Amino acid sequence: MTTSPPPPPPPPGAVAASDAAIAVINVSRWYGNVVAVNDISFGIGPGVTGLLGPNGAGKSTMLHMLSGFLRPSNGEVRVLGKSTWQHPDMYRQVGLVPEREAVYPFLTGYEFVLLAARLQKLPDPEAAAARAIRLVDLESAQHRATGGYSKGMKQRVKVAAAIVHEPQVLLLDEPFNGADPRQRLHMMDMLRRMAADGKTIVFSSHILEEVERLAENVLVIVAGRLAASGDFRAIRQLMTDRPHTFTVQSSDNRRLASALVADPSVFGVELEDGRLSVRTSEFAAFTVALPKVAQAAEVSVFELRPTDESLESVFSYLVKR
Amino acid sequence: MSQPSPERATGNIYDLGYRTYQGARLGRPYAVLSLYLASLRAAFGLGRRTAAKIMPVALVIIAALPAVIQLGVAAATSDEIELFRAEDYYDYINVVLALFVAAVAPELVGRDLRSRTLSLYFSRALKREDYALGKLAALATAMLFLTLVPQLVMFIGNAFSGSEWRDYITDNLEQIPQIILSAVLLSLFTSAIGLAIAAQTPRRAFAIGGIIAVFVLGSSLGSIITAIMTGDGDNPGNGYPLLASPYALMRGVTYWIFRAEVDSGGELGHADLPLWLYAVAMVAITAACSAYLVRRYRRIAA
Amino acid sequence: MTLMLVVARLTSRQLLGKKRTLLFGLLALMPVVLAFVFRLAANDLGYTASDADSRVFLPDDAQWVASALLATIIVGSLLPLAALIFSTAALGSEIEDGTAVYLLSKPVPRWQILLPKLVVAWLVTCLFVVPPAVIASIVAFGADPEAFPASARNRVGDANELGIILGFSIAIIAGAALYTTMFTFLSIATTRAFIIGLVYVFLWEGIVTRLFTGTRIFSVRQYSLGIAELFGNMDTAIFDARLGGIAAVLLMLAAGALCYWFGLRRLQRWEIGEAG
Repeated sequence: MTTSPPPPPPPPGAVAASDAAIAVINVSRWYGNVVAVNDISFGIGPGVTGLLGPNGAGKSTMLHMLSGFLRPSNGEVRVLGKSTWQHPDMYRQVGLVPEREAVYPFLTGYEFVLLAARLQKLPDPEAAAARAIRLVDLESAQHRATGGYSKGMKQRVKVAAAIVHEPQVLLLDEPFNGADPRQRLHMMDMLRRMAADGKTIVFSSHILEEVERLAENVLVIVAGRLAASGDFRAIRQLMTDRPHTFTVQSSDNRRLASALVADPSVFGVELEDGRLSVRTSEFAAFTVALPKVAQAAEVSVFELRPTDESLESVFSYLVKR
Repeated sequence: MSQPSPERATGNIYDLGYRTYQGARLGRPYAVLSLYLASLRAAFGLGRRTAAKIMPVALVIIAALPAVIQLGVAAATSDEIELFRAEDYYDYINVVLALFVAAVAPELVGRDLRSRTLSLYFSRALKREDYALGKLAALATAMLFLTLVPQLVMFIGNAFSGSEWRDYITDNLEQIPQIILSAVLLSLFTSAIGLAIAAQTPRRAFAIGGIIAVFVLGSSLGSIITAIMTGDGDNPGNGYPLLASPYALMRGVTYWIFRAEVDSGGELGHADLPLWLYAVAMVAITAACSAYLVRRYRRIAA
Repeated sequence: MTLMLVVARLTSRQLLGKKRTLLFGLLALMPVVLAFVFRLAANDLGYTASDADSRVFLPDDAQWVASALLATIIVGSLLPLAALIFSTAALGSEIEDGTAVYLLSKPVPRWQILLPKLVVAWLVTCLFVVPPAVIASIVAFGADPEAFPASARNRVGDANELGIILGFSIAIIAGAALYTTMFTFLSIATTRAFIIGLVYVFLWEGIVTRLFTGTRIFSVRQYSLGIAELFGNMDTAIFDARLGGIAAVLLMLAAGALCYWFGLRRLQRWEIGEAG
């Protein structure tokens, strides 16, 4: 660990580290001999960023370093231009929603949010608490003790406490755990609106659907390393060594298939149940070649559809590589 | 990796080759044995982080210190010398025994209560009472490392520090069953009390505090009330409060087993109770705590 | 200041939760019961004449109250146990449960979190230990409270009831401050603060300090007893501390400052544990 390798080229889709709200520079973290985060660099600007990775990949470690609750073993984490480690002052502009469910069971929801507002030294804590509670749609239960809350309600009251001071940066660790679909939509909506206001929002999740629906920007962490970052569709385009698969509907699938096999951009062709799927390594070349081949073979193409552009397939590709 | 394609989604169940287990099942005795061995390992933090090992191992070492000191002195003077008598040994380390139970009993039963894993046990061949008694057996076995082992070390050491070890052993042969009986009885007694308390709460601090309160405060209360009642020996015959003191019970039972002479100026002398009464009280308390433990696990929602 | 009041109010609600209070209240009643038993037995055995006018102050009485009741039961067991329970509940259980993050993720200097937590744990400890100590002593002396000021005036500078009670009350308040600071530091530093604290109290202070007198300078109990002797102005026949009063005060201040400093440092560098 005496010499660190040169930093990787800035991933596309990410913001340059200098003007980002969050800058992570060559950060590693190890516990004893176990490396949890291995020399990661990235920058995050305003908008919603999803931190994606399988359990134990280092998502939580990364998020805890962003929130100043873990010291990087190497490198530096900066939020709004300041190092996060041992700078409690930064919490004036940072909100944190921890993963663990625990709340103070004897406080009511309102009291819990009010506590956060008071500790933030807000000029009008009562009004701020009421506003935050309204934002997470918890008004009906705000005067009940949080000890009796359901998982989803606890999650929402934690979010309310984290946004009571309208932070520039909001960090959420697995925020959708235990929320029912309606609450999930509501919370996603709220986060999107905050992002539209220019706030920087980072959340971790191992559920692809959530990340896919909410995040404009994705950071994929696998085994402690940054496997990919940026818009996930853009990431997909970069994975040239992995064939893309398309399904094609045409007037004569069999004939089109035999014509396509001859094209250099095509990897393989499969006919099954009257459906034609084509695998190609070059996304751009194929989309150019297909119309020409079809025309030459006198087959009309009705539909061309990529089959594996979901985040899940991107993710499993990155995880298995 | 097959690619999911939402458009083509039709119901399918794939045969992934999973098969149910067809072999022989080892059944309840094996399950109890497994629980016992796993709990015994857990008592010393084996298979857990270093931080979990420090406290139990340190207490085992401290419990053996008097025996080691005895051997050291005997080796240095190369004489038969008796610093600590076998019947007094538990008295020197009674706080260590209590601390070990307080440290370990909540680890053995508290974790399952905290993480709500009891239902996993009870859905197996294991019966509820097997769980309770298996844990009790494991803790009592662990306690033997603090009671039986130091006593045996001291006995063997004494034998070899003299010139005629055969004579020592034949002369003191009756000590061996005495050591074993006292160690087993005390181990069961302390373990049963500890587990009966620890099984009540998932919170470690409450369990530890409760166990220490019973052993340490119970003992000082019993002693002080006895001292008051008997007027420090001026007024014998009111010694029954001493039976509420776990430490005094341990001392009385040991003296009874070793047929040792009670010092009339000491607490047992002041209380002036027949020594077999301590044994009766200890067996009764052990049985009551064990029964309570079993009952707790019969009724617990899992 | 208002910030610290907010933390202090939260902490007092944590500590005075119903179950814990009830359990510890029962424990705190024990010395009073004990004193009552002592009084009854002493009257029976004629230790003391019980009518107020001809009351003879027997050293036996004072000796039992000072050495057995106050020094052994209260300072030796009840005080450290109370301090251990309340200081681990004030901060350690927050760290264990994961609620500490809500306090620490605020733009508040960490000492403003540590200090109110410490003070509340200290006050609650005193609340649960000083009244039982005073009441138990009064019960054991069998005095009617009205006679107290008079008897105190009569025996100023002598071993007297008021002196014993006053000295030990100050000792408990001072000892509680150091114990809570120490155990709070422990509960920040390790998840096993409770059992380590017990080993310290019962093995180190209870046994090692008794066997090896030199170690008394590392014993909070001995500091407290030294302070009791200093302020109680007691006759050595009644109670004899092993540590001089001035030394006890100085050692206590040094140990308290050290524990506070270490605790604050640990809290400033506190890292979130792995989940669970």
